[in-house]
Amino acid sequence: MLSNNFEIKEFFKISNQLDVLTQENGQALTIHDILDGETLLSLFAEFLESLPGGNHKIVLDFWIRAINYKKTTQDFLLAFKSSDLSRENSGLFQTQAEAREIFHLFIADDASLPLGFDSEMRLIYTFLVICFK
Amino acid sequence: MFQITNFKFRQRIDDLVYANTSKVDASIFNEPANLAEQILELKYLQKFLSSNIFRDYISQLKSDVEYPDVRISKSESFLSINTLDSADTEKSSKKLSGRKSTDTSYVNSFDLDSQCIWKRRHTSLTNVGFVDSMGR
Repeated sequence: MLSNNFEIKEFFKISNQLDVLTQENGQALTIHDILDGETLLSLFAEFLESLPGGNHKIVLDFWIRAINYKKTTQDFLLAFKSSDLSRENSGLFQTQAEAREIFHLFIADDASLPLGFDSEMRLIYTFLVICFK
Repeated sequence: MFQITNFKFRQRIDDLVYANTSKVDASIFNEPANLAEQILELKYLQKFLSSNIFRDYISQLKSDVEYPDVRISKSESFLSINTLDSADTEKSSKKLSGRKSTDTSYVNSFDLDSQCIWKRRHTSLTNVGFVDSMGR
């Protein structure tokens, strides 16, 4: 028996979450539903780690770093514009250093975690690049 | 191995990261991040949705909805472990397992009903904080 508001809210939150996740047998879910939820994101990361043959989690790791960079930089830019802070004190140099780190980790020619693609992913990527043109 | 370094945006990101050191751009990784999202969706999403990890999570949510008191009892067990009301946790556990626990033989039907605290018999294990009719 649910006895207080917190428990009732929790119950309906879980119930609603379950409805969304099982809608059309899960086929209605998009990648954003997974990436935007803290629990689902960690489960997705666990799933990618469990896959055999190569580092499948690297694409997710890159996405997380890139999104965090974007959010942090936007926050710093806002803080920088609305204050008298110097560029050094606003943290903007840190975000720039983070950008370089992401670049060297995932994108540069000598990247230590290159976003390598197998043949299946290469096909997908070729398709996507064509769409972006 | 085919690498992302071969593509047009590598040079663009290179320029944005290094070309002008006084400039900070929040959107430099937007394009590869969007590509990463689409790759995750196209290659991994369906596999994830049919994986045991996702199924277990759904089962857990279903169980939480079906037996909400079990979930609450679990999360609050640290509060009730030393109280007479901890019998509620036992009740929930029994509902799930469907078998009688062997180490809780001191729990009777009154112990299972939180509305009947006053009816519970007291044993050396459950008399924490017990006050008799004389106030002792």
